[in-house]
Amino acid sequence: MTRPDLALLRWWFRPAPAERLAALRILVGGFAFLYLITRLPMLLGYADFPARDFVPLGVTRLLGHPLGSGAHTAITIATVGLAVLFTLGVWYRVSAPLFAVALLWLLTYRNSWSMPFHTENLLALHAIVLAMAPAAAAWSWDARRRAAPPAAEAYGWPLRLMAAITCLTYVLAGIAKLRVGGLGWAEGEFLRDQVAVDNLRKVLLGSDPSPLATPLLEHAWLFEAMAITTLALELGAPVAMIGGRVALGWAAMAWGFHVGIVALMAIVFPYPLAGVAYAPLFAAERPLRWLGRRLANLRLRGAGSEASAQPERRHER
Amino acid sequence: MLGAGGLLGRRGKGCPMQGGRRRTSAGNAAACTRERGHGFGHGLGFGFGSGSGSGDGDGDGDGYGLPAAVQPGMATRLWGGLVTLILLAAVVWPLGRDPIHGDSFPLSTYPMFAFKRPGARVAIDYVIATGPGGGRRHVPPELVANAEVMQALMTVRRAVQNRHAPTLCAEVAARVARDRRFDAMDTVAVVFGDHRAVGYLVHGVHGPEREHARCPIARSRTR
Repeated sequence: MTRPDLALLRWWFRPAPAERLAALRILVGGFAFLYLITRLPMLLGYADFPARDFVPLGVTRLLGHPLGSGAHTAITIATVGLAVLFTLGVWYRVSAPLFAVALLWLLTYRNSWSMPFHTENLLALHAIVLAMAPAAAAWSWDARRRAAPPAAEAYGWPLRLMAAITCLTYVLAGIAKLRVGGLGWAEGEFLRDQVAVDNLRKVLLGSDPSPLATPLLEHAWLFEAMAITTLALELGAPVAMIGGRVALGWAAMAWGFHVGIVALMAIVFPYPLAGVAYAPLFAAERPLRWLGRRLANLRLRGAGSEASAQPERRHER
Repeated sequence: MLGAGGLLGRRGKGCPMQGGRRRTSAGNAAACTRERGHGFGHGLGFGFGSGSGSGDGDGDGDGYGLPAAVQPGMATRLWGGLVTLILLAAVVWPLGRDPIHGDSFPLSTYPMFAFKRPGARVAIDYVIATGPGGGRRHVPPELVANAEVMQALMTVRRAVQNRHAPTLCAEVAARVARDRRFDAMDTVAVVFGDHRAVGYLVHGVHGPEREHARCPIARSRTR
């Protein structure tokens, strides 16, 4: 008879292909690079914020006051550079931990100027997991002269840990709602008031509210349905660990939930909306392998047409 | 689901999904790899990951430059178990804290949308620009702090709490003076407003406002 705890451990350490973990390194690192580069002016702008607005969180509690402008700028630029090394798997043993620490610092620093935004937590946590795993064993600069290694346990547990962290963050969000509002949260009034408050706050602070919110606010029953669905989605997140179609169904619903948040409150959670947050639940190497083949074919075609053009040029001479 | 792989010794029985096929018969992980097709980046000129499919052979492949023999299964499990326990414990650790006031980053209680908003009341400080003809425009967040709405909210709130509202007002007025959208405005004010969100948005009913600071928009002629 198999003991359940041993079965759980066997599942947790089930071998996985190195390419799957490598695909997550590329997705998470690539996302982080794009995220940072598109927000670079905003991130660098914190160097000019008045010290009175600095309320340190997490690791930035080590600081008694904000960083100097030069130090903050240097860390920001270095994090972008490390994101490139991390994504390409260059000197991974050193660059990955450095990237995870730099990203954690930079994102925490950014969140220390107003309030925790909750849009970057998973990105920081996933980068930490990848930095502690052999995610550059395939599809990396470091492994460019090596054949892909066989599937192994070392590539399996980080995938499941990243997936578990994704699911846990949703469960925690569901628990927070119940701790604050009790089962009454499911009646929809909390959510309706939240949507109304968020949109009015945007109006008062000179930003654009959601065009959908105002017409929907008059239909309370809609918010009850949305609240029940939200709680079910968040508290039921662990079912995604089953994998397969269950994971696909849950991820699709979670993605739809974030689309709904954009539509109703104009609040964007880029990491889940880009799908990267859910990638650990799936065989993430397949789309990248497909993309790699397409690019290789295009390159071969380009080389072929160039080669066929050469004799013609010779004739012209 | 839980059958593949083994905890103590039975390594790699069964093969995870690879290349669209699932190998369920006996066989080890290396055999799975041998069946693999081309890797990502094959022939891309970037040089990495040709992944043509033959077994490892060189003993490397752990991504840390260590031979596979240096990192046997037990070490993997110990390291993986340790990292798993620490990170999972860290992620659930905020459960022991107050869901609203115990929030942090990246270990969060995730209280978004959990807050009670009795009567959907919005009582906040914000910045407006006004003009001579009774014109009025709310100053956007990028002219108060940066593009983040919540950042602007906190910047105004802290300025008011710390009695820096006149300073903030002057800073915002200087930025507004360079923005053509505000050409018809001549004054900036930091105000406190107390509104009911549904009434305001659906019926256009505004609540009372109180002024913290007011300052003129000084424009240079050479703008």
